[in-house]
Amino acid sequence: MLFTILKFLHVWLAIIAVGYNAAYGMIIARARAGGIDGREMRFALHTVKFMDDYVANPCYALLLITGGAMVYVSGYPWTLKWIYLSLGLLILAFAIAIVLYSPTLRRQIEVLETSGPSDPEFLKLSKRGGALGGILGVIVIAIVALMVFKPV
Amino acid sequence: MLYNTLKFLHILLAILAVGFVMTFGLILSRAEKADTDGRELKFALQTVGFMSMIANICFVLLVIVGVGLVQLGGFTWAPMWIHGSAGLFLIAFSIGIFILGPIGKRRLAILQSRGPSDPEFIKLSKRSAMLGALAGLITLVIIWLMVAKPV
Repeated sequence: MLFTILKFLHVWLAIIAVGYNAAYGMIIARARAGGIDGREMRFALHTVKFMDDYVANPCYALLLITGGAMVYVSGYPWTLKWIYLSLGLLILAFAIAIVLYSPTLRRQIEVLETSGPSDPEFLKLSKRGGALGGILGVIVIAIVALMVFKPV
Repeated sequence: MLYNTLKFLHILLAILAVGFVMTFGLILSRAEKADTDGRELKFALQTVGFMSMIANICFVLLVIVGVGLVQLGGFTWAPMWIHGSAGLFLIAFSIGIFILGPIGKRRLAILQSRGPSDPEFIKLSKRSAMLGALAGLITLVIIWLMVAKPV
């Protein structure tokens, strides 16, 4: 029963974290078509930052905890490929999110507030944010594949 | 292999569809607190409308893949976790398509013609939040059924 509860929490947290991440690109892409004063973009970036700081990243941290607890409760060894690889990839994704994506987003907001949405640095940061989002997406898809196919 | 590939697709579609829908409340509530001229709210309603279109496509594919999984896995429709989750899904999907979708369009129309302080707009916003929470609760039960698999 404890394992089932942990698995339910794990799946729920994964849906929220990854679903939120997937929404960022869409929200920001739609804001690009907003007014030239950048108000929609400002709203979009602040909203994405809030979603990232207060929902997605805490969910990733809890995913690590529930995932580790599931391995412990079920008695699975850490030597199984799908367990240690998915754990490694999750840590990598979490590190990219914290060390690269979040600071890029923060800087994007700063540049937008001071220089507007057509500033070259803002455009460069937008591209970097999009690329990092793409990398995170690929990592997350790989983790889901490992969880489903369970290679030993 | 085919079963696992379908399961993988099923999970990815669920993450996209449910994950997108889970963002709507937060996006709209932040937009409601933005400037009083409703420009952010208009952007938020349009964005949520677009995202819900993608989520609905994912939900339809989710059903198709889910039925494929039942057939391929050799399951019958008798276990509670299968027929229960299918039934609950139909309820949640109907709420989304037939009630929340039209409410979203109506809210956008009122916002553009009468602004965000219009009483009908406020009433519809409350109704939308309540129904969204209900659909979210149904989704939680579906996920529990999928994980716990009660017979």
